[in-house]
This record gives sequence, C-alpha cells and structure tokens, in this order.
Amino acid sequence: MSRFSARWRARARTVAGQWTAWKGQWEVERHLERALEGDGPIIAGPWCSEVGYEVLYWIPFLRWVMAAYRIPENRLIALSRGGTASWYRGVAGRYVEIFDHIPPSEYGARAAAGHIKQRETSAFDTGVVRRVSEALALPASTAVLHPSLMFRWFAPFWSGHETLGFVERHTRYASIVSPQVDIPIALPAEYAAVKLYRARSLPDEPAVRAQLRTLVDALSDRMPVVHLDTGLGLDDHADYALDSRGRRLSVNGLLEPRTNLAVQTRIAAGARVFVGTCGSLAWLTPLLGIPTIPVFTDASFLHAHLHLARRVYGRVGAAPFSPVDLSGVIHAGLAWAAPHAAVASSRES
Amino acid sequence: MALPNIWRAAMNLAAARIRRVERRGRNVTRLVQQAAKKVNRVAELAIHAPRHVRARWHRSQAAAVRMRNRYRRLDDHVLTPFRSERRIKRTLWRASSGNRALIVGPWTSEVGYEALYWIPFLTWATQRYGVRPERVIALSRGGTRDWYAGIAGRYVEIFDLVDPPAFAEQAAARRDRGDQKQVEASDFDRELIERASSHLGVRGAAVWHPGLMYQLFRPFWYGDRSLEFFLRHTDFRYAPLDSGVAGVGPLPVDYVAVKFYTGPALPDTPANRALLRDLVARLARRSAVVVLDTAWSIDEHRDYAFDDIPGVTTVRPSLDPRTNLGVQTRVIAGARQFVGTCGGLAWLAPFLRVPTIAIYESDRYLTAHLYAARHAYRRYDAARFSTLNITAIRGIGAALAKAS
Repeated sequence: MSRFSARWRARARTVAGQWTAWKGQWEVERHLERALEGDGPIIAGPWCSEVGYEVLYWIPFLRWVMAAYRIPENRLIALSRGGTASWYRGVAGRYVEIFDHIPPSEYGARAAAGHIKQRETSAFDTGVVRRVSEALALPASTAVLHPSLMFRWFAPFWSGHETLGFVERHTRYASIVSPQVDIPIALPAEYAAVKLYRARSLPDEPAVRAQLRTLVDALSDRMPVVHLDTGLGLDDHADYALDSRGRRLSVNGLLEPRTNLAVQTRIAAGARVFVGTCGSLAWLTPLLGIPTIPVFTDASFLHAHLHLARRVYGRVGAAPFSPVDLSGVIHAGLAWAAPHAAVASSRES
Repeated sequence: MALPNIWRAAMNLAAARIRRVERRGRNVTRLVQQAAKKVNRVAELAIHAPRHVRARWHRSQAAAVRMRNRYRRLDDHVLTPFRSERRIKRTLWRASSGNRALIVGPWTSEVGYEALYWIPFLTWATQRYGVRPERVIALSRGGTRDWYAGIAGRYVEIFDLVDPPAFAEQAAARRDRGDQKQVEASDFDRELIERASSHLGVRGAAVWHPGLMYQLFRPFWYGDRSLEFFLRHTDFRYAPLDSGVAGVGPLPVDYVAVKFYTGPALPDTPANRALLRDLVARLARRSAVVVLDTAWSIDEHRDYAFDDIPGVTTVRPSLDPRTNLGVQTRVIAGARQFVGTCGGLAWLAPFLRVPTIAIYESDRYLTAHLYAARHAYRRYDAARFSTLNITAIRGIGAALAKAS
C-alpha cells in the first residue's frame, strides 16, 4: 500500500513539476508576444551577464525569435557591452554600446556585487534602457526583450528538467564573423590565443596553476602565445597571471571597456588555436572557425552547456571543440610538456 | 391698474427666442460635431483598417502558432513518451506479476550500455515492481554475475549455452542488419532464452528484454527526453564486490588498471596507438600497470596490447570468454586508478569506487552518455571520473610527460 501511494505521490510530483515548467514557458511566450507586437523598435538587452550565456544561448535565442515571429532585422536594437556588434550581425539591425551610456565603473560595481545573471529585470537594467532610449530618442512604444526571458526559458534545461531538443527547437546557431577593429599590439603571423581565468570550473589551486603554466609553456614553445587577459575587472572572473618562458604577448592594460570584447574576438579569430577556461570566449571561438580547447577541472556546472555545445557545433560546421578535463591529467600524475615530436596541427587535423 | 411694459415684454420674448435659437444652435453644433467625430472615427478606422486587420491577423496567427506549438510540445513531451512509457511499463508490470521466474536479458550488446543503463534500469525496475531477487535470472555473457548482485538470484552464462564463435557470428549478423542495439528481441535472443530456461529447468518464465530499456532511453539519447526522466528510471546503487580476484596470477599490491580498445571514440590509428603507448609507458614508470586486454574479440572492438612495455602486466592469459568481464571487473575494483577508452568498463569503474580517467579522440557518440554518466556519478557519490581528449592534446601539440 505504501509502495502504491509512494508511486502516486511520485507521479503527482512529476506532473506538478512539469506543470510549473509549462506555466513558466507560457508566461515567457506571452511576454515575448507582447514585446514583439506592433512595428516599433525592440531593444534586445541590455546584456550584462557572462559572455558564455550570450554566445551559447542569448544570440541563438534572438535568432530564433526573429525567425519564428518573422521580425525584420531593422526592428531589433542589440544592447550589449564591449563592442560585440559583430556577434549580432544578421540578428539586429543596430548595435548600441552600453559603455557609451554607462560608466564602466558603475557596470563593474554591479558585477562586483554579484549581480551577474539577469534572471530578473533589475533597476540597473531599467536605468540602462531608459538612458539609451533618451539618448537615441527612441519612441515611447519601443519594446524591450530582456535577457531574463531567455534565462527563464532555458532554466529547466540547465536543471535537467527540460530536454536538449527543447533548447535546439528554440535557438538558431550560425557562424560569427570577426569584427573590424584596431588591435593595440602587433600580432605575429601565427599564434595561439589563450584566455585562462579563474572560475568554478577552473579554480585557482596550486596543481591547476602548475598545469596551466606548463600547458602555456608547451604552447609557447611551439608558437607565440597571445594572452587575452584584460585586467579590466568588469566581471567576477580574474585572469590567471601565468608567466611563460616562451614568446608571450598580452593585451593587458591596452584595452578599453567599450571595445575589449571586439578586440579579443578579432585576436581570437586570427589565432591558429584558442585555449581557454571552459566558458566565455571558448564558446564563441568554434563559431569563429577557430579550433578550440576549453580547459576545466570541475565539470559540475558545465554538463548541460557541454552537452549542448557538442551537439550544435557539429551541426553548424563550427571548428573542432575539444574540451580538456585537466583533472584527468592531474590525477594521472602527468603534465603537459614541450613537444618535440611532429604533431599535426589542429587545423590540419 | 398699471399698464404693461410692452417694450420690456417684447424684449423678454425676444431674449427667450434668442436663447432658444442659441440652444438649438448649440444642439445643432453638438450634433454636427458628433457627426463629424463619427465620420472622423469611421475615416480613421477605414484608414487604419488594414493595419488593424493585419495586427488582429498576426495576433490570431500567433495564438494559433502558440496553440500548435503547445500541442506539439504536449505531444512530444507528454503524449508520445507517455504512450511509449506506458507500453513499456505495462510490459514490465505484466512480466513482474505472479511468482513466475523472470529472465532479464539476454544481454548481448555492448558492455557500456549494460553498465551505464541496463543494470541501473533493472535495479530501478525490480524495486518499482517489487520483484524479489529469488525470482530473477540474469542472462548475460562474460561472467558478469557480480554486476547483477542484488537484482538477480541466479545468473546464466551465455557462453555456457553457445560457443563464443557462434555468439560472435550472431553479433556480426546483428551489426550487419544495422541492429547492433537490442531494440527488438531477435531470433537469437529468443533461442538464448529457451536454452537458458531448459538449462535451469524453468518453464514459462517471464522476460524483461533489453529492448525495453533501449526503447525507454532512446529519446533521451536523441535529446527528446530530459535528464530528470532518465534519472527517474534508473538506480545506480551497485552492490559492493567481495575482495579478491580468483583465477588470475598474483597482481601487484598497488597498480593502475588500463584497458584501451578501438572504437569510434578511439579509432585505431598510428597516431593514437603511439600516444596511448606513450601514456601507458609513462604510467608504468610511476606505478605498476595491469592491462586488461583479451586475446579474442566478440564484437567490433579490438584491445590495444601494451604488455611489452616494462612494468606492465597483462591478465590476458588468465582470461577466457566465460569469465573475462567478471575478472576484469575485480581487477579494476582492486586498482587505485582505472585508465581506459571512454566507454565499456570505464562507465562502471567509478561505481566500483575507483577513480577513472576515460580517454577519447572523438566525442561524437559520447555526448549523451557523458551527460548522463557525470550526473549519475555526482548523484550517487561515485569515484572521480575525468576525461582526457586526445584531440586536444594533439591540437596543443604537446606531449604528456611525467610530472616534475
């Protein structure tokens, strides 16, 4: 009897969970439709969260919205930061830079306070939209597609309650082109781009740091390494400061907040290989056509993203995406070392 | 009597008339204004009619699309899976009712699916349908009795019923038919069930065929069912193994178990062979290595052999088809680490409390399994599971070297 009732309780829980998920999805749908009504401009943003979510979910989601609701590109105004206009090409007819309207210090303070994910529309977001609308003299009828819609839409997938198929049905992935922006350093003809920062998936521990150092050394023995450490402190991830013995170039201290991501994108797009913490630009570079080696030691927070990335990158013809679980190397008692063996390059492979 | 003030009366009358006229005028003006407003409104409606019609059309179209999408979602996520799930669960329930013996199997497909899906599925199903182990007969190959501990009271070894070459022939035929997975029961499966029944002297046994599991989880592998659904239909509590490895020569006290085999995840190429060889040699310089290679193959996978490397021991001479998987399992359970191809026994090792490093070159067929396994390991507090992608190693152009 107790088994019987437990079974029904479990069923009821499942149905209730599913119902809650549906209600959330329907609400998002209603918000979307309301925002897309009429012929007025639509602000997509302001995007103030992580680069990874922007590339892997937000932009593909916008691309799907535009296609599914037949919205002309010229209605959409992408509102983001760091000069990411090229990421929105084919999605939004116009790009507005947040740092043209908000001082980076104000933006950085928000990130430092830990308000990274935009699950709700914050006062900061509302303020950004208001200032941008005033500055651009946008009509009062301008609608806002806030990132919280996307966060709420895909949250059940991240928690394992929604299917990968659901995400695939509500996103459209496409290649991203490199922006035309000036680069503050002289780049070699051939180089590896590296962006290693501390994250939950790559915590700052002595063993991890040692591995990363030897990894970068191994790379720099083969070709010059360009470090994309910004030193701007615009988010909650600090870059690893790795002194490598080989040819090392860095953009640290040379970037402006309003173009920092554009410059990083341009540098990454010209690299032979991109190696970085699994997150942020590592989700972008395969779509730029650059073989990517994302590194992590703890995949606990990455399962869903890795699952999705592996599926969609293959489908859109992105460059190889080869995640490295550094804990495998560490726990095998091994280390990366300088190669002298002839090994085919990633591009060749 | 006072005379009436004619002049004043006339003025009053005139004023009253004027007021009346004014009132009428105002009324007329109001009416005209109202009419004008109406005309304006109608004109405005007429002017904006196409836009309004378009908007209304868009709204109704959006509503229709929304309803269609909702229905599709309902059909995709609820109705179709529910029908399939109900059919599978009804089959499970029917077979579990009564006191008949219950054959689970025959398992003739890959080791990885057996370890990662079939056994956890059976653990869940036997609990869910209240089937006691005394009733359950596991039918598998390679001496995997230990894997079914707590699920099945009896175990029938398929290689006691058919010769390994005949089994390999049937497996190859199944592959040729494009049906490597046991989604449906084949004639060979039915024959094995009959032979197992007569081997044990059991009549009228019910059967839970692996196809039930494959049909239930296939939508998950294709991305049409959620992780939560998968975890709801599995239980990864593996029974602990008794210590000791029977039938194998003396093993080192402290060793790393290694098993590399070819497959889509780790194709047999000169570059891969060299890299794996280098890796095993480096492992062997740090500690004893026991390689779990076999001298035969009953499926499309071939084991890499490394026993010519100093410090590497092979259990090959001790393995025979009837017991090889059981022996390999116990060797892994006694190891301090397992390193092998991502697949097969690598999925099992973390549940044996052995830290595992799974190596692959291509994750094309691994994504759903990695997703499922990593969540299961975390949920069931299994040993550490790390992956090593050799494409990345090659991409960086680095070789693995001994840590300083």
